[in-house]
Amino acid sequence: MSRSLARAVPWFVSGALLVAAWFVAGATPDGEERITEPFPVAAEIGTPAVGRNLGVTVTDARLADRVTFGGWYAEGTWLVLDLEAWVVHTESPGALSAATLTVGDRVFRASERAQGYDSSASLFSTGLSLAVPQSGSIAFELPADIAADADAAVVRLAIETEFLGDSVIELPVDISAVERVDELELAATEWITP
Amino acid sequence: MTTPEPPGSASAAAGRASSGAPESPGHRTAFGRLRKATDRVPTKWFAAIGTGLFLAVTAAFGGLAPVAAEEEPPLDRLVAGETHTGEQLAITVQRAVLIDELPGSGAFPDEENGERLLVLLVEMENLWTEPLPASTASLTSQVAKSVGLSGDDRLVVGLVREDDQTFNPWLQPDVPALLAFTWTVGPDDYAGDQDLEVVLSDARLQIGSFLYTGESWLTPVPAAVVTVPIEDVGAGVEQ
Amino acid sequence: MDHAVTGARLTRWWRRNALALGALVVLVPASLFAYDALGFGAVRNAELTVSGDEPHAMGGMPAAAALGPVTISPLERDEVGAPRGSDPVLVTIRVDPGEGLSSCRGVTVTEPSTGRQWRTVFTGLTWVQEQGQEMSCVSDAVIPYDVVAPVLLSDDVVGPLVVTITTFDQPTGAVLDLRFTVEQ
Repeated sequence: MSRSLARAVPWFVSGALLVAAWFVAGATPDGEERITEPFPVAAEIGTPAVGRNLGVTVTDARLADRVTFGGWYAEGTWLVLDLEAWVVHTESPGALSAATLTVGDRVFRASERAQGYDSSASLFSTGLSLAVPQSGSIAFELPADIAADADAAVVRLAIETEFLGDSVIELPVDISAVERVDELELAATEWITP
Repeated sequence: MTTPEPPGSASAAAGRASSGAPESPGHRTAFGRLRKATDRVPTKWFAAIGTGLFLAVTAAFGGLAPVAAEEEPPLDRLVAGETHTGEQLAITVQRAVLIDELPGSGAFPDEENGERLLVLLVEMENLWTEPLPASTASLTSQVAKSVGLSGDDRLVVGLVREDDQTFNPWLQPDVPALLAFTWTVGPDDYAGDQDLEVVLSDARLQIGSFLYTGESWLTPVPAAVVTVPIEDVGAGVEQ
Repeated sequence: MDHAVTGARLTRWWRRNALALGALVVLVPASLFAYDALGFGAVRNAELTVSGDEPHAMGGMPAAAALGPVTISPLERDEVGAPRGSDPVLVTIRVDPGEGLSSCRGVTVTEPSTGRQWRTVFTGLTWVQEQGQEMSCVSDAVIPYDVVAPVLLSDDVVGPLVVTITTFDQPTGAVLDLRFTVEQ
């Protein structure tokens, strides 16, 4: 009897180890997806937020029914952010390639429309400098009922286009509380020191 | 047929046997025992077991009989100004214009060969939760493929916003935009006062579950046909 | 007799563990190969670091092209419209055309002590190239010329700096990151 018990012990031990392994696997984070998860850096208006390479200070956020830049204009519902941006470590790559506004489950991409008219109309997709920060604006074209959307809104800015494995600056925005104007001239991209 | 003996007792029996008894080295090592065990599996049943497993698995997936192709549902027939709503886009074809050239449309007709431009003014609204590129570049031309000419499989050449001529524009979620789809056509391909049939296709959303994560849109499938009269404006400037 | 017993024990050990050992022989090289092949998205070109004081030949042939010397010279801040707090410079790389060099691109300046990296400024500076100056390697040149790149350095840069340019040789398909150390 003790002999068959002794023979069964390895089976019990293996079974127990398998169960334990199942618990351990359940507790560890999903490998594949975590390789590319970004590193969020919290930001607020008026304070510089610096990630691994991207540095940003958002100075203002306004909602406008009409935006203009020189001879270009567009009507609708536009969220315009005024900001200063620079890179900290390398200019290659060093462009503000990712700029999204997430409201609930909808994601909006910074508008490229004004830049087709004049490339200095937006800091979006603009190469940033290690030496001196640049100031400018980015604008999001939104549906008319966005101010009524009660979902939390977050602006995300990063160097890479897909937020893969690098820092992402995250700025919460309360769209319903932002200053609202009829018309707004977008700020041109320029050096902060002349 | 001999009944299989438990390996333990076999080796015990071998151990108890005197040194003069014939040795069966198979009973001593694990490798040998494995070999003896596989000897006992009736190999002539392998084919039957394999076939049975295969049939069971295919039955789980719906059987071996070829699936009859689904009857294609008839396409919705619409006229200019009516909206077709798919899973990804709400599309309204407004006008069709034949014109010699249109700067800012993104299309350049070969005037020496008499090429002209066929321009469709289409209002589109992105019904998805993420921005969509309305682009003629081959890798991102899903939205472009949603609007096609019946009987003409040429892909659109120029895709711009009608208001500020933004080239290959991005469609933001729930923000409608009036777009100009432009094809370069031969001088006799289309004529004014003809009725043009525009095929609108819907893309379906596929949510990755097993081998990959994320969502992607499948190639658009025809869903509606819009009949719109062609206006030939000659060399005139678009209103 | 002792040797015979130990020998027999050893053979038994090998036989008992044959399956596990066979698995190891297959799996260990396979794991190393998979780990190496995965790459995690990083692609590195071949790298070579040379002094920026003298020309570097792209191969041993007599008709081989040569790159270098490399100089970093200051530009007038007001003339080029560079902002205060920056140090605008012109990176100049002498190119002697020949074999082993089809094209080149991507001039960057690295500060080894901090790892900071600048690259050519394409817009924002008022600067025009002169006769004999090119923005990248010319494939069908016959006489030597300069590849120039205006760079907006930070004004707190500490030398020596490394100027990197990526060269391509079409016949052999060779890609090389050529790094020149330059005293500032």
